[in-house]
Amino acid sequence: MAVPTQTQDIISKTLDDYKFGFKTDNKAVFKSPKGLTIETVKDISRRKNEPAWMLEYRLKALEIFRQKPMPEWGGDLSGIDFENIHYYLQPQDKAKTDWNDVPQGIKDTFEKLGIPEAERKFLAGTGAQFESEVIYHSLHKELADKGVIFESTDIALQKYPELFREHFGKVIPANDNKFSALNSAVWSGGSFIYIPKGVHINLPLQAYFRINAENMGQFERTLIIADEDSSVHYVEGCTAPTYSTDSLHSAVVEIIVKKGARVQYTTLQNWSQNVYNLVTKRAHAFKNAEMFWLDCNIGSKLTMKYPAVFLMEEGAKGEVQSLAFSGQGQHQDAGAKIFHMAPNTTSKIVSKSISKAGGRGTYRGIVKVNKGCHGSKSHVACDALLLDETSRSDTYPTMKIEEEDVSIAHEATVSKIGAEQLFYLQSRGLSEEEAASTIVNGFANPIIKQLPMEYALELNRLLELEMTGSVG
Amino acid sequence: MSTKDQVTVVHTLKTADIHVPANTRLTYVALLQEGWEEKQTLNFYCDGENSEVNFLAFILAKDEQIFHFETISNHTVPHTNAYYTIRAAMFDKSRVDYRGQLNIKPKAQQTDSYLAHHSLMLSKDAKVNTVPCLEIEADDVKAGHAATIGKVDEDMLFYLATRGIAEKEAQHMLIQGFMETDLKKIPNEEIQQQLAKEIELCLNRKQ
Repeated sequence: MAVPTQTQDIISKTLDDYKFGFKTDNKAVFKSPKGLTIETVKDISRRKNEPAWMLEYRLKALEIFRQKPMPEWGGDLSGIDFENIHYYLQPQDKAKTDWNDVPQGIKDTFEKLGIPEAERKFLAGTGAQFESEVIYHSLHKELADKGVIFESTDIALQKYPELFREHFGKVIPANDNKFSALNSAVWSGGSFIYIPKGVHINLPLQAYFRINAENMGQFERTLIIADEDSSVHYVEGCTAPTYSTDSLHSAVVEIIVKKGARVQYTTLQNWSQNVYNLVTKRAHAFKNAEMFWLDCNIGSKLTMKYPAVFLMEEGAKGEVQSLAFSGQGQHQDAGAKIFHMAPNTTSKIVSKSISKAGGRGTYRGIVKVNKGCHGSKSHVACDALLLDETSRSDTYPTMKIEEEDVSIAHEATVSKIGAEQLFYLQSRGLSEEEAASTIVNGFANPIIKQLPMEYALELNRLLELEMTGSVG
Repeated sequence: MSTKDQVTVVHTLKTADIHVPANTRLTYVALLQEGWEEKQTLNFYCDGENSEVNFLAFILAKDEQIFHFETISNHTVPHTNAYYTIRAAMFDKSRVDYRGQLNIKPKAQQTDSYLAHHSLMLSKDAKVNTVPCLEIEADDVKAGHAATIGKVDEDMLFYLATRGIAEKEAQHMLIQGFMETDLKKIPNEEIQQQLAKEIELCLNRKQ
């Protein structure tokens, strides 16, 4: 028995209704011409008044980008035209720390998206990126007093040159893959976070990324350094207007979790369905440190993203939990990578995907245990839910184990809403629609319940099926 | 219509296309002791309704032997089943490179399929690479896979030691137990006993 038509309608209405699809008329201060040349890269660096080493780094990365072939695995990348993209778009002259100074058009955009309203409620700090630049940044004063740094990556390069250079590009070198090379060549914006030893930030830090222009490329670069015994939770959200032509978002996120520290990085990716989302995210976790990626992918045309944790020293722990929705025309190719590089390290991967209306959900991941890493433990669980017969689910896990004393387990299931499950719930007095929606919610809930409240609410709204017919 | 049982037993794997006709259950058993380097690909096709593949590989990997193979399960019609089970005991500097794929095409509704790869690590120098893949394009199906990699349970060895069983012998018993779980899936008792004997002989030679 398939999902009732009425329920499918509701799912379509809730998931297809992309409420962030509006665009803002904002006159950019500067927009680089379409296409990628050495001049484009030099121009970006000049406008940012960067030190010579950064320009050199960018130019070298451009060379690597040109040499590396397009990946032939994963999703269909043939629609990307690198010559038809604006690589740098400066929306205002410089980042503001007072919301009142942000230009009205941009301010309206973020007000519509619920920022900085959210900041006032429950955040320790906020950043907002519009096109290529971070237009606003704030941090609670008491955290700044403790030595916490939360800045746009561009400003951090100017203000903290040594700390910056020590860590930049160390976790993800430019030559890691074609898109990390592209990002390294034209990066702009993103967050730079430093948490001093022993400092715990109880409320999340949030960054919000918005693409507004057509044929835009957004290449933010985020670097988080959690010093010994510190902790932080960083949340990012992303949206864009719906255009008929494609935009490209290719971020690089590097995280260093030092001895005894903990970092949680939460993503709620809700790009419009004309955005290619090709992101490289990786963390190095040192002795007894813990890295947790919570990754929700709802939007975009194609996402290829596999958050990674390198467990560098004994006792390190890595966890990746992800939830993906693939609707019509969408392909979510997401997953996780864990590398056990020291003894007694542990990891966990939980991946859940829901596909409907011809969407394709792919889990792709790797767990590797190096020789000598005794006592390593890893558990991987992938579940996929197919809501109709036109959708597709793929699972490509890889396990490479070079050590005897390990405990590794992997399991995956693909299922639909089962007739028995529906029957059971209906026998308890639920309507067919309520039963189906209960099952979808139950499937996604283990991930959703770990999100900060506001994001959980937003995701639950997307899944709010019980409001039969009235949603949308 | 009743299902016909077919059993094939092999001692090595070679690239092949294997078609399973309608109303047939093929149990393809491989007991592997001698490795090979070049990848061998076994393509199973469930072409007819009510066809079923039951692939069972028992690997005793020793020395520097490499076992490099791939199974691809192709389902294009409704009501087909496929179960793939690989059990490998990994000694010395041996290596298993396995990739298993289940392809369930849009018309192959009501397919029930499962793939499992269990490895018992008996040496610090052994390696296992496993890639169990699923490509599912029909919704009314059951598809799953599992992989486990672990070593011999110290508690079990201890328990057997307290019963006066030497470590080597205890280890053999545990390996035999590890294999036996799936030997029982062969629908022919004679073949089950024959393979159990071969496994025992192989372990004894290993002394």
